[in-house]
Amino acid sequence: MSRTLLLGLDGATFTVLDALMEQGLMPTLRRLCEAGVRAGLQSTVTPLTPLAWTSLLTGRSPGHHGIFDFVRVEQLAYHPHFRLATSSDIRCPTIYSLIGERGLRSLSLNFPVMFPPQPINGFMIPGFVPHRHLKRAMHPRSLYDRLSAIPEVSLKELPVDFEDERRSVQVLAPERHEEWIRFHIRRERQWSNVLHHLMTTEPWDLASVVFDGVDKLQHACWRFIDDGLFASFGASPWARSVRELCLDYFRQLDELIARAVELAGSETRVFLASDHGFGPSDEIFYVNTWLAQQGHLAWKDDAPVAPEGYINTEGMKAAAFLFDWSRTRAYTLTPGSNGIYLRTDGAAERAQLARQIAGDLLQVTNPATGERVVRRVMTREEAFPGPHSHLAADLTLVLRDFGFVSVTRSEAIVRTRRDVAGVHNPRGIFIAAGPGIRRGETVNDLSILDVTPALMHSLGEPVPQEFDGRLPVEIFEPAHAVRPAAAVPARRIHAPDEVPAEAAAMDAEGEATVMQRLRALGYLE
Amino acid sequence: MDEQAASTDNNDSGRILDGLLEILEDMIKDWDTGFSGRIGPATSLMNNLTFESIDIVMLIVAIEERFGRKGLPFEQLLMLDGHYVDDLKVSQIVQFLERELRSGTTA
Repeated sequence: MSRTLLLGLDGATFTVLDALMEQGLMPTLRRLCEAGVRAGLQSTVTPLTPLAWTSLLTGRSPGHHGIFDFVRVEQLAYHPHFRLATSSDIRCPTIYSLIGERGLRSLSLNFPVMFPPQPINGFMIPGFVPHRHLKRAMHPRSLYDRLSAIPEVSLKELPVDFEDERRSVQVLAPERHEEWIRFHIRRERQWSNVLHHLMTTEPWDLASVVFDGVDKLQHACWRFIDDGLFASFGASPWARSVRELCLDYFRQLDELIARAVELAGSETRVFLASDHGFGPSDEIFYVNTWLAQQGHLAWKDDAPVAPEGYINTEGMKAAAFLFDWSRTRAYTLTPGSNGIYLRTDGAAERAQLARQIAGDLLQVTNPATGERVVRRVMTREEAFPGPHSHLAADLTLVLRDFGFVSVTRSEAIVRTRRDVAGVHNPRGIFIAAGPGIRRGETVNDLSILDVTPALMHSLGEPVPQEFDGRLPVEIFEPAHAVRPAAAVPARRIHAPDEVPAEAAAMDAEGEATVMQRLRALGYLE
Repeated sequence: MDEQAASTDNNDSGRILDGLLEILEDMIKDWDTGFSGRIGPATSLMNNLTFESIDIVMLIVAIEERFGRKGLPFEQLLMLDGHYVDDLKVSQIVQFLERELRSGTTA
């Protein structure tokens, strides 16, 4: 068993980080890669923050954990509506509760969908909680007063709320760039200060934090961060100053990573992971406008046409109130989920409509380029197999650039963006370093579902049998990988001396499989 | 309505009001609202307690947790012609919860 530090870098991609490491701007990250293992990390089918981090924290796919978006869509009789997705919507135990049952202590900072906080064995501050609600969001509640008394911690600067999130994926006005970047530099430092305080004053086995400014900056500032893009337009002093600030964000983030790694000590295993990657997008697909054109959706007469570049409705007004529900049978409520819900009577009619819409979507092209806009359309059973797939949208779209659809009303079906924006991409990052981790290796891409087994294994805990990922033995040195923990069901974890015969048999089988894999990888003769 | 049913309704109403007041008092404890009175049925969330739309979202989460029910059609209470209502009184939420919790139907 080794103490384990998990640093989440929301939206981080090697596309950006490799360049920064090469330029010497992220020396700690470079050292970790050289001293450990790195891999691309394949996100959930929809590479979106709430479901991806929830998968990483539960080891389960969205069809099992039940989170598909920032919101939970409810099919009310007269029309659907949505609510905030909360921790009580997660249908599986998190790693914090799994290891907590075994007496291990966790620190959990800034992970989404953790509000209201669950009573873990340790300390938790969920992400995406507005400042006015932060006290109620902390576990234990006394943590708020404790942190308030620390001069280095400014609790007002910790949160980013949903309006900020919406703003970051819309169009950011030029005069707001500097403020936006500086805000996130300050926020990351605050989370680092809280982490530092808890790591130095509390016993812990798993310390974890999400630095989410990476995502927020890349949405709004991708064209300043991507070397090639910037070279094509970045001549103005303003553009150069925005780029310099972005680079400073990453430089400072590297310092915070160094601070956490140093504090954790050389006997701690360090894992860095992102919930998804990032990439460029130069077009917007207005899916509801397309559905309206196809006769599946009707706008209310007063539904406004969105400003150029917008993918979401403004303020807290829901897209649901822009539709004439008496004439709508297919619709999308939120951009991030890329999901289309159907309103039909009967399974056969629903399946037929799903097939028709899926087929037609694949024919949509950008008139400016002639390229197809939709890469893939999946039914919810295909995208999110599991007992809770019925809570997901009927259809999930994967766009050509992996971006978000726009739910707004538009005069065109597809528009070319004025400026290239950053959008989510399925390939995130994974780095591991520390005792028992192979050194200087790049391994094949892992799944985000493989991170949880790796964390459990690092902590010396059994990997629950129902986890959807696998233990990535290839990241460990052979001596640390040949004794994978017993595969036992979550919530029914036995003490080592209570492992039933059936589980013991599975252990033997699992060990044989691992041995076989290690031989194949050349670790064993 | 017979006497026993009326008494049950009053108890429900009192229980819901008490639960809601507990949530609200806990929620605004550290807010700088300038509101010095006691929260009661006539208190306005927006005008007295300085609620904003995100606070309403958080209130819904707290109500769902407190009363153990999901899928209550809050938009019937909160939305008017596609916009959030300008004002909302504690008594309106209590009436809404009385009706919806009694009906036992959720999405």
